[in-house]
Amino acid sequence: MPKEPEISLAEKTFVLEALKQNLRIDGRDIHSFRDIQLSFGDDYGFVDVRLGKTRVLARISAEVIKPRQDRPFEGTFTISTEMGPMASPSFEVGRPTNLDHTLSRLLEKSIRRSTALDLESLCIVTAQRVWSLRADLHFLSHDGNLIDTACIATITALAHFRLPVVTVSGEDITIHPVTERVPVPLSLLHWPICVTFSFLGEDEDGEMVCVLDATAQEEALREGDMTITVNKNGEVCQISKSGGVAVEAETLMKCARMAAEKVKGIDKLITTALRDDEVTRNKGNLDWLKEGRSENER
Amino acid sequence: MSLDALEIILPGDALPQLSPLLTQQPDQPQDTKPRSLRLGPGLTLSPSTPSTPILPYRYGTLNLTTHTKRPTASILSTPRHYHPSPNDPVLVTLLRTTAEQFMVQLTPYTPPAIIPFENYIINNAGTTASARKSRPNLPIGATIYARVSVVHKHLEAVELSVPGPDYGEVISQKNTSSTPSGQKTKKESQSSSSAAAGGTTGAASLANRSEVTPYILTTSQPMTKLLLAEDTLGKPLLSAVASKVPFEMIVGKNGRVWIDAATQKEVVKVVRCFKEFDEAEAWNDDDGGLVRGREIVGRVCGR
Repeated sequence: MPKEPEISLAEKTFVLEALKQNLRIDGRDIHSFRDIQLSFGDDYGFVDVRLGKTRVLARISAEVIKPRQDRPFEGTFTISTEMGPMASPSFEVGRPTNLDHTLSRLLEKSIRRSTALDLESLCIVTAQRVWSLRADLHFLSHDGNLIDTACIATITALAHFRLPVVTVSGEDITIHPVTERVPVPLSLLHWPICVTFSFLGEDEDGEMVCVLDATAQEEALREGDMTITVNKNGEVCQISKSGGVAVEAETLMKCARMAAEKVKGIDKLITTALRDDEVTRNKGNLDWLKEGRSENER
Repeated sequence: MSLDALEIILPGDALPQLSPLLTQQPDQPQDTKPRSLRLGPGLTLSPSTPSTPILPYRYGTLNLTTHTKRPTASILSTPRHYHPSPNDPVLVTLLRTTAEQFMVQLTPYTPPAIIPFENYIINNAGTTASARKSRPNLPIGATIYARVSVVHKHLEAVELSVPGPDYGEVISQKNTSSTPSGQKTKKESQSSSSAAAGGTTGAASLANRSEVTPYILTTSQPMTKLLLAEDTLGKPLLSAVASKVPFEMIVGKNGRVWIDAATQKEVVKVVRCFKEFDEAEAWNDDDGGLVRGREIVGRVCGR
């Protein structure tokens, strides 16, 4: 496996010393995110998220399948994350790294297990036909904080996605193309968003230095990390802390509170981006939309 | 930088431009010594093709110096990655020490380069680090300022050398009394008086500080080229930054820049100026990044 590049002693000491003074190389505050840039593709459910140099693409696709025997009312939702050398030369195809496992596990826990997506709403005909949703995440560039970026990308893509309208009459199932009927958004119960804290030593007062939205350099130097998933109502969906430096309960509470606050901001940002996209999508295109109105003659 | 007017040469192209330099001109007076064409980076001798004895192995533009005594030819290009060529000053990171050499990282994700101990000269008397006593005890991750000495395609590793006390480990060297030579340390000073006095007074005052807080910045190849040409290409940016923050830097051609200033806050300012300039690809501007450089410096350091 290609090795991560060696970080020089000078960089290491500098970054750690500077963090104690609340100073970061990119001029940010230790508790602030980089600018989150969201852009949408032509299709519904296609999102490109950028956090500084980190870039993740998410794409949602849907197909109709037969449901599992033991869960006849539920559709399925899978998240596929695969990191290739495009993101960073240290990732290899077919050889998942630790980060790979952590990331897919965390997304699974944060989004699927917290029932962000109502799977029963994906049912078309009980025990016969259900929607199967699939989120494909593509990691284009890695400059730290892939977990949070991937989570934001998945949630935004799900919120952006539209399912074609299906009508059932007796045995017949008709899937209406988007030109015929306006597709419907998914029923998302809440938006869980991951916030990852990186711990890099202690400052003069003996307090843990916890950094938000770490860059790749800071990630390489950190002693431990913790991911908290919160939704905008301040409900903690999941806390994951696997290994690394021990964290006091007090710090954990502080982190959780900070995460809740950050998530509110991110939530707002996603909502604004989605609304802006809706406006631009329908501009000058209203005829196309009217065509799909339900009161029109078929 | 516009390359419109210049012809781009691709690897393997025949170079008819070189033939007048290779053959003796009849109208010119005979030289006392036979002239030889010096080949710079990007050109190689190709004995297997007698019609074109010199072939390029890089893309770029041909740079010819038709000096009567010492004609030279090289290929000028700014590739995305650093390709070592002899005599390049580089900043490398120590990976490990073996029985005979230091293994160092020249660029990430490439096989390590080596500095054999007999190529590591520690003082002006020419003592090398071959003896166990004279060997500097460097920690893993230390940064060494070295020179590329041997690059050969059949050789596994790039060989580097530390040709004298001006080179060597960069951080510890700052605290010694011998001030690094002006060629190595490029000092920019805020006050016009000390700038006029050259590197002597200003550099000494910075170099003799007990506390050093250096940072090593990774830059793109065009940016490195700009920073190396401090008096021409890099002047707009460097003077703009230096007018706000006095700092010192050492540029390695492998895209590593060692930066130090009075405080960490000031180092961060310099690093951000360089980084944002680089990321905005302002070196590609028609004015050499003068306007955008000023704008970035103004934003980072305050008006």
